[in-house]
Amino acid sequence: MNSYFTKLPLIAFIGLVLFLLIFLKDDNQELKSVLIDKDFPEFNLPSLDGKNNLNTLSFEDAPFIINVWATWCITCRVEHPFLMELKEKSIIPVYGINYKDDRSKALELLDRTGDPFEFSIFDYKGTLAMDLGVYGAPETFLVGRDGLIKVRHTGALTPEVWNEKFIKHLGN
Amino acid sequence: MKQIFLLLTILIFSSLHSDEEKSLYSFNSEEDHQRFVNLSKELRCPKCQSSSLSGSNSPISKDLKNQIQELILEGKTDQEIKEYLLVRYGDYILYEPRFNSSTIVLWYGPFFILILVLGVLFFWNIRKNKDS
Repeated sequence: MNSYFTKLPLIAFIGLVLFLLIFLKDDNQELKSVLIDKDFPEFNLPSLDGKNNLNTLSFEDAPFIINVWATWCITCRVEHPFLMELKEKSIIPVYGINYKDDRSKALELLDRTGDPFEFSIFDYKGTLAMDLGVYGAPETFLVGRDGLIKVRHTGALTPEVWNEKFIKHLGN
Repeated sequence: MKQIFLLLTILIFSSLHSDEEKSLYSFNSEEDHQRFVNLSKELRCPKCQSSSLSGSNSPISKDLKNQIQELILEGKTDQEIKEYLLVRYGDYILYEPRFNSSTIVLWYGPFFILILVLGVLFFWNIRKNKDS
């Protein structure tokens, strides 16, 4: 009994070390979105090409993904080929939110490198992005079959991320 | 001497910084202004892990500060403004976590550990006295 008491500080110390090892290892920069299983926020914004006004009714059948992108965003170029692949193989409809960007530069980039989006919402002031809790680009959301947001991913959308986080929400 | 000089430099520059912050955002009253300053200190920049909105110049912090300014001008209360950000960015945005089931350890954990340690020390002492 006596030895138990004298060893208590050591036991507590080991416990603390284990606790910190487990929780400090998890240095994920990603914030959990509070929007999971919520409706996509209402919005009323122009399309990137300026031809249409867009709102939540503009999206075709769910599931689909929405990608927040901009010409100033370097990582967006990394994921661009994969978004093109999703479109070309008709895996899922991809919509864009052009986030705080220059309209002509954005159109020029899509023209030059290919446009993976059904349409892009022109969110010049970042109002829709703020309603989505976006804090950078790129970010990608998946809206599931039930019309609710199922996945939020910050950073490049790679095939690995796709397989790990998105694919399970596609249904049959 | 060197240290005092360093301290003075830091103090001077930190006051410059907050003056700059004040001049960037205008309000109807000094009171609103103070609310803005307090809010931007209480709210955390979502991009930068460990900086308040007030201490951050990242684009998202600027956007959020603009939004807070707008909400204050619209006459929203501090609580409403925090709620607005909470439903979009989650608990992370608050420097002082709310009290709920997932933060109960955060609030009461230290007291629990303190009581535990005092208890152990107490019993230890009794044992020691007994032995001697």
